[in-house]
Amino acid sequence: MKPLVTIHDVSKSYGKVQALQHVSLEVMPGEIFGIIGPDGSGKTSLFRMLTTLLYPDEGAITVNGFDTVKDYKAIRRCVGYMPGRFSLYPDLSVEENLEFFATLFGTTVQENYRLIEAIYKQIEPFKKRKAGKLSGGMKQKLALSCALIHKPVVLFLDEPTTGVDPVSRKEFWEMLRRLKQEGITMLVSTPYLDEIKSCDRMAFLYQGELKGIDTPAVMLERFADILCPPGLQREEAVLQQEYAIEVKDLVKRFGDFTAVDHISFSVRKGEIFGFLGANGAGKTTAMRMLCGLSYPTEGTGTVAGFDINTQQEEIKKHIGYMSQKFSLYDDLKVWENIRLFAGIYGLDETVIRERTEEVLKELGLEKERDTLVRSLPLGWKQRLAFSVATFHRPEIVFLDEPTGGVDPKTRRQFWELIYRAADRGITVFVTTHYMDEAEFCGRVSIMVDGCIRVLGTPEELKRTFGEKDMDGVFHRLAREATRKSD
Amino acid sequence: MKQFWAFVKIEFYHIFRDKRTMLILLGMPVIQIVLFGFAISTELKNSRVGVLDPVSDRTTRRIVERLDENRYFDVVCYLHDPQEIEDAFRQGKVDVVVQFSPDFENNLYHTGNAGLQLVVDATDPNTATMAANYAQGVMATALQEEGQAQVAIQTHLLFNPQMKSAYNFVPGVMGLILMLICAMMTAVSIVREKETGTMEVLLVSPIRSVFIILAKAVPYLVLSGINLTTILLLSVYVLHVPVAGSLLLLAFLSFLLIAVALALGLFVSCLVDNQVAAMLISGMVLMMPVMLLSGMIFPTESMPVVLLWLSDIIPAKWYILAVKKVMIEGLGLVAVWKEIIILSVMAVALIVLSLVKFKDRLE
Repeated sequence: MKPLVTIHDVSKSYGKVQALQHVSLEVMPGEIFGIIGPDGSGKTSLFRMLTTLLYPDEGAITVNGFDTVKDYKAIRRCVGYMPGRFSLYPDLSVEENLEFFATLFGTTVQENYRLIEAIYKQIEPFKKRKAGKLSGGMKQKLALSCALIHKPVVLFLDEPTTGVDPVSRKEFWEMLRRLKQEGITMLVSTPYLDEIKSCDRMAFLYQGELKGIDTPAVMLERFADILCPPGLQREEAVLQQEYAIEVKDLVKRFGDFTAVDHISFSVRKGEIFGFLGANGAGKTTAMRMLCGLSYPTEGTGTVAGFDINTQQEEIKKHIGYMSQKFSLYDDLKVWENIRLFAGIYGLDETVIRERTEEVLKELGLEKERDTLVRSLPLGWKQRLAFSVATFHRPEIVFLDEPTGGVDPKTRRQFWELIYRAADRGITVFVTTHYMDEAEFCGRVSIMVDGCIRVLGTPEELKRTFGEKDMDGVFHRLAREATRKSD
Repeated sequence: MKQFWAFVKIEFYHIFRDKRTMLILLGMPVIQIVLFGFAISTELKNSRVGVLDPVSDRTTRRIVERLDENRYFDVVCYLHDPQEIEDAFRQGKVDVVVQFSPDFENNLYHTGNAGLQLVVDATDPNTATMAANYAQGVMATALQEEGQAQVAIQTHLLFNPQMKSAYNFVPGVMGLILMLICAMMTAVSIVREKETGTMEVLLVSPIRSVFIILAKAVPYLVLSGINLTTILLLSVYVLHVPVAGSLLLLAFLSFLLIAVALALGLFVSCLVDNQVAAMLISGMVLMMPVMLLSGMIFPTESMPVVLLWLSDIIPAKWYILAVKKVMIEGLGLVAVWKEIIILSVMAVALIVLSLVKFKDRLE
């Protein structure tokens, strides 16, 4: 059998930055071929070359027998492409998007409806809704339908499940497996280990280099130190009796929609509390109330000893906050970022100087003091952001999906930092989409449809539900959800 | 072809579904016309006149009366001492002072060295010049009636005797609006596709890139047509600026400018990749020169020579020049051939340039 996609010794650089170095691989017809690699490993550059959007600097690529440089027009007729962002028109309805993409490829929705039927049926009830108003999972299904509507020979999916909750991710991969039976070849990149296991073969890209190609089982073993680092061991910390967070019957309504529905829980000082839930379960809304950013509609609670209804300004002084979306200023140097945030919390000049040295030493960033944050690797940025968020020694630090987009090893290093902070007595309140991280928490809660469905240590939860890992527990609960929105 | 129309259709959806943008696009010409027509007028209105007439006689009274009767001037006070003139200005009581020499009438008829001084508040030089010129005109007429035409300096203002500013800014607003809508909106709408990620998918589809570009241009062409009509209707019926020349020629000129603007917008969209940058570049690089250098507000004739060269490369300048000739002076094709050629060359050059620059790849 002849390979459908061949990549031969391809290199690509942007100015001084080497994105890909001498990458070669072949994809057989009918295969689901996975590419795993952290942010900045060159996945997107590879996809853009495959889809004829970029020229390779060196080497050659063929897709379906056509060269990506010379015969790019032929390739554009026979491939489907889902770029990293959902490439939909947010102001067009579901139906209009699908029709537009069908016309674009010179076909009609009816002609290939059978191929997308299983996927499109799930979003058809919302066909009059604007694409911009859909949840992440539904956008993804629509984008996949649009990419499939002209019955491509090969489908290129560049991180199709980023920003999508675990349940939707599972459903997405079930669809890909059905498409495989239709004979469609797929190249998929993903940062998630559980997804890569569903591929027939996989390649591991790391800093622009291809580290190896094989079946997922072999690869995960060969690169275990990066892809599956050993679990974190932590001695059971002696928790203090006092509570850092205590809330009772917290409710938040937006009009007649109840986003958070009577949640009650308490977190002890020094605890690492995992706050889990699918997209739209109400995590962010609940977290905003705890951070003093919005008033609860009903209910009472204290954070760091201050009332969430009346002492919001006091709360803000005693907590730290880090989120994936906003944490550091890219165009400031490392020390300038530290200086800025320390200044915001009104720390003393000498204290700032002392602690800056401490932090840089702890992170091993002493040499990078004058580097612009923009040019740091993502994993370093995340650790720096964490240190900045805890710089003023808050009683509690809130982390909103702090480890997106990096490889498992780097995530592990981040959690070591969390453990160290917890050992110093800082309470950690963390949300994450990675279920292996849920296992690192002291206790976790899982929100479903605005309520806290379960709460306990990871061990307790696994025992209760008879599942072998937190992933199983989470999916069993998340499938109960009736609410589907972001 | 079906792909093309599907494209045009969604482009219209984009415009209609974004109510705010649509309101701005269709409301902007109205607001600009109203603003320039009524608020930011450089016309003279009710200039307050002070009179210093040491020996009030029949001739001087006659001249002052004439001035007062005129609807652009109000005689508000009489001064008695040259020293009061400066105070009157300082206190903001007057805009213009008319000072007669002592024994004006006698000198006028006998010695022939009667003096008349006009003092004008020149903090706003445009208004000052206009006030001075117009007051001179009024007084000259008054003197003429006295049979003293030989003394008076004759001022005659062509086309715009009251120097109505509408004659100047209607063509200016037309140039500005067409430039703004076509260039900025085309740039923004292409860049938006880059931002949403749809551009990547469009490029990896069999559609030809020239179709993408044309489909983007069609809706804005239609909108520009609507705007042009609005401006012309407003200027004829609200501001009473007639269209003296051929409407067809006017439409043709506008079409040329639209072509230039669309190409410019396309060119901008090739350079940037987010909507804010597209707005800023179209705003700063395209709009400011149009406002300041095209002769819309400041006459190009009085510019330093370097700026004059610069103004030559601004398409709107040629458009405004041509529109003035056709619309205000009522001249025909022969009078504007130079502008037509310049605009055509610009249009062709820019379209070729931006088509070459628009890549069907990402690099």
